[in-house]
Amino acid sequence: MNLSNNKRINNTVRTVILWCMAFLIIAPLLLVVLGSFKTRGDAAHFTLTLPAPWDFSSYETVVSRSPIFRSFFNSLFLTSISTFLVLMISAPAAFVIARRNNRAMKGLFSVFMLGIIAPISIIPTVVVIRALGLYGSYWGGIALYTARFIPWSLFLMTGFVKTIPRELDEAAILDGCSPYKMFLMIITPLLRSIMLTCMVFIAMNVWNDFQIPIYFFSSSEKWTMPLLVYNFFGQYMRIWNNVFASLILTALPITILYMFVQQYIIAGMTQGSVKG
Amino acid sequence: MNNLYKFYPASFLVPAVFVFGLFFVLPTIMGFGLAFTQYSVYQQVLTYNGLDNFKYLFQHPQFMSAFWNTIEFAVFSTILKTVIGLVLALLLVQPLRSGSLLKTLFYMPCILSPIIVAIMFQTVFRMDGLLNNFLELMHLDFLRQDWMGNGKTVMSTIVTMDVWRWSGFNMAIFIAGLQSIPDSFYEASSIDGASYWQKMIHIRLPLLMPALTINMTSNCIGGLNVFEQVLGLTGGGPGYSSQVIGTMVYQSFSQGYYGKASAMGMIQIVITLALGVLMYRFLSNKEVSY
Repeated sequence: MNLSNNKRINNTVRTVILWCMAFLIIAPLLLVVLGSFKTRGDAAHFTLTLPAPWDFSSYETVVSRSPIFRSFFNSLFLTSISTFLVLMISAPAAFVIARRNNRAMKGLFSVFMLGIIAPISIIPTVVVIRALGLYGSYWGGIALYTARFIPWSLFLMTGFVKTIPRELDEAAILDGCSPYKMFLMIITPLLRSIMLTCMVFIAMNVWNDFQIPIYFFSSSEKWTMPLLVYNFFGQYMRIWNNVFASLILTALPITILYMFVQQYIIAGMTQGSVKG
Repeated sequence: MNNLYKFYPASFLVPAVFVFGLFFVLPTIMGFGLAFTQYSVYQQVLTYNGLDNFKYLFQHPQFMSAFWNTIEFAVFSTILKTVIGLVLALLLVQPLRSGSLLKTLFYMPCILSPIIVAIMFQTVFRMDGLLNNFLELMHLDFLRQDWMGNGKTVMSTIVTMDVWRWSGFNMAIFIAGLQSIPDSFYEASSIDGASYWQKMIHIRLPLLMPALTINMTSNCIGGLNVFEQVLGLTGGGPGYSSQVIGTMVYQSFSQGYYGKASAMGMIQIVITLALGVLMYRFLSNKEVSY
């Protein structure tokens, strides 16, 4: 009796503390959501009151005055192509690195791991991208994202490949498979779950990235959603209801995704850090 | 041995090595070269100028302040994200009625783009913003101030914002770590009469070391690479009081001083690599297994 009472008090205390902290997380988000439905004047008060009257004109402004759909498709295009390429390129590499597992491969793996720690060197990267005639193009961005996320994907997949028994490869080869066929038919299907994890992790990071677009896409035609919202903010600085609406519309795709596939996102992002 | 090469051909490695080599390794190596040159928009010919860029930067008060701001940001954000993440995880690891909803909420900020978060936090820290309005409501008017306009508080606004964004992520890693500790450890220690804190110090914390390593290392690397947070929230102001290396690189890049920007980038890479690797080594040596 005493014990369960203690437990109940303990649970209540925990719940209260946690909801107080949750309020700190929610408050700024709520301000943006509520503010986007307020009039220009009301939105500039920055309070957590309900909109009175409800005003939807800010959304109209964002949709009609900024290339939001274009940016959405830019982001979608860059994200999907880069993610696809990273997976295609890193899966076979991870397989060979894990299977050979000799000193040379360990060295190579460490070089790739430096790519996780070291930030991108902007200036020389611009030089290389310019020299290849890719500056300001989608393909330049795709190349940079692919290079940046190959290490992450290798990191996750190499650990995973080690859990697949080597006997499978030998059996396949003895049955007359070429290494390519063996990898495609036997190994790739087994990598499905780790590929999904990598996919979520990479897609999330590419979608939200701001650094590569700001350095490499100067023309507004190529803007991704984070860059659009930044420029929109620069333009409508004092018209907060419009800014709020643009924040909401930019965050919407990823938030919807989060609501539906939350467990994959958390697994993808945490495993991206915890050794796979 | 021979099988290794026959079954696992080197051609599988070629695309990864090529793309990573061309778009990451090559620029990084070139950066170390460019850092010792004069290269700029105004002088496109590469002339070697030795350590001039570094001498210039380390005597330049604005760069030095950006340098220390970066370190300060990394230190405080790393500690706060880790501690708050750990507290949240410890409070949430035992079942709670609203537990999964709370986890969802705490985790959510890190899926938002940093630039969205930065613009959002402008409305929090403005003079007429959410924080000051809240303080007024609590009759704490004397605490009201221009958080982003004051050189003394501006770095803490950026730290707060990033802690807001990443604490839930740290929490998720810690929860995964806590859940991997077998219940039998707790039961055994309860039978031995261990108190909550004894269990904490002798069971939980040592077994949480892998999660701690991951969180601290990634917080530290992320902290040293701070860029869009500053650009979006304060733009480096007021004056230069919230500039960090990342934004200084952007500034010199925009002004066309490529050699200097490369030197700054190189300083950032060296610090990040050194601290990241050191921290990882140090913490992972402390990991135990029972």
